[in-house]
Amino acid sequence: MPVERRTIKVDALARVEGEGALYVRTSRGRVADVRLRIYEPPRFFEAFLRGRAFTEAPDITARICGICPVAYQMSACLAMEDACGTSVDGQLRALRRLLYCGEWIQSHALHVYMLHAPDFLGYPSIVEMARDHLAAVQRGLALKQTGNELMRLLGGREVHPINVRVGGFYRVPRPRELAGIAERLKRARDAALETVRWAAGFEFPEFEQPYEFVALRAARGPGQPAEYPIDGGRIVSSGGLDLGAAEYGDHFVEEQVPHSNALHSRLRARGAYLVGPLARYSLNFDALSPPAKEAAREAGLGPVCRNPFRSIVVRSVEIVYACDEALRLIGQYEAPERPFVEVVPRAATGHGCTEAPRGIPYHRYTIDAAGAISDARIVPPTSQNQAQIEDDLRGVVQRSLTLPDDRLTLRCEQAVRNYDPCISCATHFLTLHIDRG
Amino acid sequence: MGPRAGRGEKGGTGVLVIGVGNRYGGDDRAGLAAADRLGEAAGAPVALLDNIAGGTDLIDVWADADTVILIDAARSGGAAGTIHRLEVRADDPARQVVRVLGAGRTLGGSTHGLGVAEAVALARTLGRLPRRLVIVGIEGARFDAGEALSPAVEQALDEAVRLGLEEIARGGEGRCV
Repeated sequence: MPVERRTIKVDALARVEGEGALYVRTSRGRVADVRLRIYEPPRFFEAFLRGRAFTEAPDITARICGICPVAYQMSACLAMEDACGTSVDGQLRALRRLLYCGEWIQSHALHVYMLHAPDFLGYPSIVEMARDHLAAVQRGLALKQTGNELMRLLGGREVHPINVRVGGFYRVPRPRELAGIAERLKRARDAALETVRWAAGFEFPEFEQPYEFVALRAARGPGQPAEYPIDGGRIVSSGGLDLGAAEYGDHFVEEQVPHSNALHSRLRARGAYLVGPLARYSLNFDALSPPAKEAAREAGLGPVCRNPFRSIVVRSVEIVYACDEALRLIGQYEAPERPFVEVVPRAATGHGCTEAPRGIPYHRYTIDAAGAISDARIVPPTSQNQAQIEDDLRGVVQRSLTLPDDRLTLRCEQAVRNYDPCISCATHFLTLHIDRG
Repeated sequence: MGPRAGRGEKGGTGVLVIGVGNRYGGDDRAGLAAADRLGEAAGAPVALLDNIAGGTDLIDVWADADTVILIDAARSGGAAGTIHRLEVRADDPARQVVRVLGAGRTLGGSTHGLGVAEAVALARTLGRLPRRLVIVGIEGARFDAGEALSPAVEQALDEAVRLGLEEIARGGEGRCV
């Protein structure tokens, strides 16, 4: 459509968690500007945490997000344990990982089926899609419910779990309490494999980006099997980074940009980077379970995926992995003697990083000798991806300028949803504007 | 929430009170507060969906309930504290729910696109609506981060609870088809 000056305005970008604004301007057939404009409330939670006890951070930060509370809890726990010079391992660590698998299953199922699939199948939302794809929607709901159930079992409830504490849990399950969920997880794994096949059949725009992938990579000793990163590990990147969480601040910087209240994260050395499923997968393909690897291969994925639109397939592969891993953890589970390890506060700063479904959140806390929090910094995954989302949009719009306005708008929305952005973690309002001036 | 979510009695004859909102979202707390009180007053099980982003969870929460009283904050542009009542019926419930609660409004108060309205529409397509669903909306004024309710909303809680008790007493009336 060779129009030199055109304005498209779209008032709502639905199906991303939270609200914000996206502004795209094109001029003479070129993309002139792309801005993901975020209205971030004052860093309410960081301020809210000051003066609170170090033991309160997991529960308070879990309130930041209704979809990935476990990610916040776990990152906060790791940071506090780091500050106090303690670490949690053995079966307590296994239980944390198991709880986190529940969150991955429910969050990915929600995004794949309810939020992202309608883009690929040409429906405005899941409501319309359900009329024609009843079986798929029911499969998605059942998968999500299994994730919820796992969270409920370990976390006490599926949203904002109350059973997690610094050092471990308030209560740990007896092995036989996990028998029922294991049966459900086996069915969920079949549904997840079906999900991979289903998503692989969608049509994907030809679009690849030279991302710098940033994800965790589980540290492992010689002879130990590889482990897909969920509950911790070294921060590694396709550009050669290999850091402990404590070094995060040396390499990543949050910048204020004029068009957004939210801070944009950048690699000090190289700028935009990508966190989330594509990064995790591409840096850890070797650590997937054999069924997950096989499903990926059948879906036509190589060991590295640079097409953000295929993230829906990668997420589906990760659901397979999460089901597998949960079953493995349940299979080897023996109740630990104590539900938690004692964590004694000391004046220190601690760092924590885990793999939320949508990428790494980074937490840093400074506490005093009595355990009171004097400083808190939380960098959610979506604010880390913002610069990369803008880069993607620049490329997507440039390649799609011949599309009519409505189709281009949908393509932009789809490109933003590739990131499963949890914008409520970083922001409050999202609207989409496209100016073709 | 969920776990203690009363699942009604076997055979789907129970009443379930559902409160939706965000405890830290100003007036978005209204639905949670009112549902808590209503459950206590009626001796009915309560499910509080506090800051839940995936509206589809509602479908699981009310799976075994016969009658559901769902209380949520509303943003229809009316005066703070105004009470809306909506019984979900066969004729295009989604549009009505949207009108009362706001399109695309999620359970956590953001525009995820999967809120109460969408959950109702999706449940209808899936044949998973409770037999009777009464939605009580409490018009809110401010939804910023914070724990306090507006005075008008605080005052309206009693009215919402009274209305909920009436609905529960009416029992089997108003079948939703």
